[in-house]
Amino acid sequence: MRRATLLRSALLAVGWLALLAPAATAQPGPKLDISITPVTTTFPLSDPDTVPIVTAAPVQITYRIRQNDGPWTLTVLANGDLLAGPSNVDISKVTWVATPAPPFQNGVLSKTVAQRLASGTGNVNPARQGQVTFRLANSWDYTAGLYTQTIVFTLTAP
Amino acid sequence: MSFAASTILTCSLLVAALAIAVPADAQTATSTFSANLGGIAKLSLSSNTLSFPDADPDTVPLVPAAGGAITIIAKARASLAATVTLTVVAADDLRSGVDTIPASALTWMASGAGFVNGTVSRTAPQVVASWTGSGIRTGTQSYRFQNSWSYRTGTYSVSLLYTLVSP
Amino acid sequence: MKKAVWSGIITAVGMLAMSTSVYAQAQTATGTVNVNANVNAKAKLTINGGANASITFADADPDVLATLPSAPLNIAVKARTSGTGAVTLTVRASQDLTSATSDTIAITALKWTSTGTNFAVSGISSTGADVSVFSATGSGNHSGVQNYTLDNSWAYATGTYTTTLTYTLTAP
Repeated sequence: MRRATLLRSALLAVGWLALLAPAATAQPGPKLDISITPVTTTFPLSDPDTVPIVTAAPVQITYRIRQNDGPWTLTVLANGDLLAGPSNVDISKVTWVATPAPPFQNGVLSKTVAQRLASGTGNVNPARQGQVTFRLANSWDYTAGLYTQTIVFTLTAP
Repeated sequence: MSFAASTILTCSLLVAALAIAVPADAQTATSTFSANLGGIAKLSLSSNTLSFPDADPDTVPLVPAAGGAITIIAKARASLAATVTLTVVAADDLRSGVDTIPASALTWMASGAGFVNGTVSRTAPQVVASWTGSGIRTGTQSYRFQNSWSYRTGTYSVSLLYTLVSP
Repeated sequence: MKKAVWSGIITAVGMLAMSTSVYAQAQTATGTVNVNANVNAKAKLTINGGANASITFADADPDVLATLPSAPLNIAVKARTSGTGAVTLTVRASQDLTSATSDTIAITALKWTSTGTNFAVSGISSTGADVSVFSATGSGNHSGVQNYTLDNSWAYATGTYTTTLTYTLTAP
């Protein structure tokens, strides 16, 4: 009886200690919001001689970070090379320039390693916007075709 | 309440307290890329004129063009494994007023990968070069004019039309 | 801390709207080269394959050989001219046949016959006029053979007689 009481008391103490622990473990985690527009990035047909770098219309990224007191990162990862049937264009042929810098930074797309697009610490509230302009290296060596691929933007606050 | 029941209740409350915080700390958005890398063909000739000077048919049976060879740059973005061809055809025989010299009096020697020698025709385009797939190709054509004592005097002219096809 | 990834996929409508007919298929590019070939008037004469030749008449009994023969001359005429251009080959003697002692044999004793298309069948040498050897219209490559003869005579003074025959080819 006495042992049972002691055990119950211990459990209660642990429970109350857990509830009274630092807010990070007891309160809700970071709240993240991200949206992009447009959702399709198009590289138009261009003469490689006159347009060696084909520029797409800018992608506007709207992001908000709340309830965060640590670092946050926005990355981008392609699901593969640009593909048109059996033909492919290495996704590393696509680069980007992004503003404002910081927190945004320029880079080169990858299909294997998510590339950092932006980073910071703490909250971003109200929402902010960044602009990313993707650029494709043009070439006479590409096999003719309409190439597509999806890329994933990931906003994290570990 | 029995000890077991109260203990179970306490443990449940403890688990519930610990389970309140389940953070959503990553979010994604997806974009689709579309790149129009369609077929393009572009042809560049280093010169748009060929001139053959008068010459003694005995000593110069094949008259080379003054100014040397024509350098050709063919650029094509073609479908996978497609054959890209460059041809040339004469608009007519060489003509000076009513006098003519057959277009076949013009022949060429070619250099460069994919380029071949040939004889000009006014009836059918002749292959100058052919390749497989996309790329930039460079070669030269050195034209020669078959000389003869039988030609009537005059300044003979004809246009040669080059066509680059990129399927 | 365990990460919980919450994926919010946004539908990509653009991909469905695209088709292979959007971009250009077969493409062509053209270029033009203008050719000019100059064919000027030209004339070339060779006698026995060269620019100069000589013929010799051996001495003979006038009663046996009233006419002295010589080796044939192979004449090649090449000319480029207009379609109606008159191509002519003539010959003129510089003097009567003359010896070292100034004895002469009239040039008219020197006669010739020839074979070949457009070559004159025969002729008599002259110092005062161009004698036609060949004539044709338009361009071409022609050849013929000329055979000279010298009238023999007891009246000739002894000696070695010479003259020069000048051929003139004209292709306007």
